[in-house]
Amino acid sequence: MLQFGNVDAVILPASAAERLLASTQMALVRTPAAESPVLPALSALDAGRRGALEAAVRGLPAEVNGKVGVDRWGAP
Amino acid sequence: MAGAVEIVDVTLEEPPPVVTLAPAPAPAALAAAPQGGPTLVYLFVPGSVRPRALEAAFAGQLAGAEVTAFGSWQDFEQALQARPPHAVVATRTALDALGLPVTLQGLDASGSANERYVLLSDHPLGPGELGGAAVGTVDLAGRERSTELVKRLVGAELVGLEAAGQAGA
Repeated sequence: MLQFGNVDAVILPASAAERLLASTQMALVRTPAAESPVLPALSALDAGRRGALEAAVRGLPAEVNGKVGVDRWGAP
Repeated sequence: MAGAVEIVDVTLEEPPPVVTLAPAPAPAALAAAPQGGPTLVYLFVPGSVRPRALEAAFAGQLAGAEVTAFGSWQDFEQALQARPPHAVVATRTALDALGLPVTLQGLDASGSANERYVLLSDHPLGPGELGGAAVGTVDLAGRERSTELVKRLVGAELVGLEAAGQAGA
């Protein structure tokens, strides 16, 4: 969008911005956003599978967590 | 008297309470409660990596689960209705918009649940410029909610908002 001049700026999570900056040749300037929204979360909707799902998500390796901008998981 | 069995007559003064286990009501965003079968997990984290790559990464770790990642809010919302999942990993903006309960929260290395956002532009943006800027974003939770979120993030009224399916700028 920036490349084609459709917008003045794009806004996105800092982790995604870093990936973008690493893969573009455009010279882009970072401006921190005024607010910091809450990171992604898990919503387990089936009581019977909740324990197994939470254990699996807590055990995700750093490589997978990094794809959603998370370092680890904890109680809400 | 080894091996003898002592029979004790027990009389309950009150009958034991009867507990009826009713199925939990489905959240409003779901047409029905999730059904049996393989564990169905939906991912909606726009602005991260491409849905296909996200899906493969999670599927490799959640043994036996059927993982689907969505890049579009509309597709995500439709799938929630058509085939309710057993779990969702999504932005808090999306979960809150859908009224889905949070059971595990993503945290950063310092233990904070907040995520920094940044504006990327091809020239430094002063506070005065942001008021009239057109800002592009990924669709975080439907156009209306995304616009509200971006206004809060930027801290200014915007003249336009351009949504993209992915974080391609």
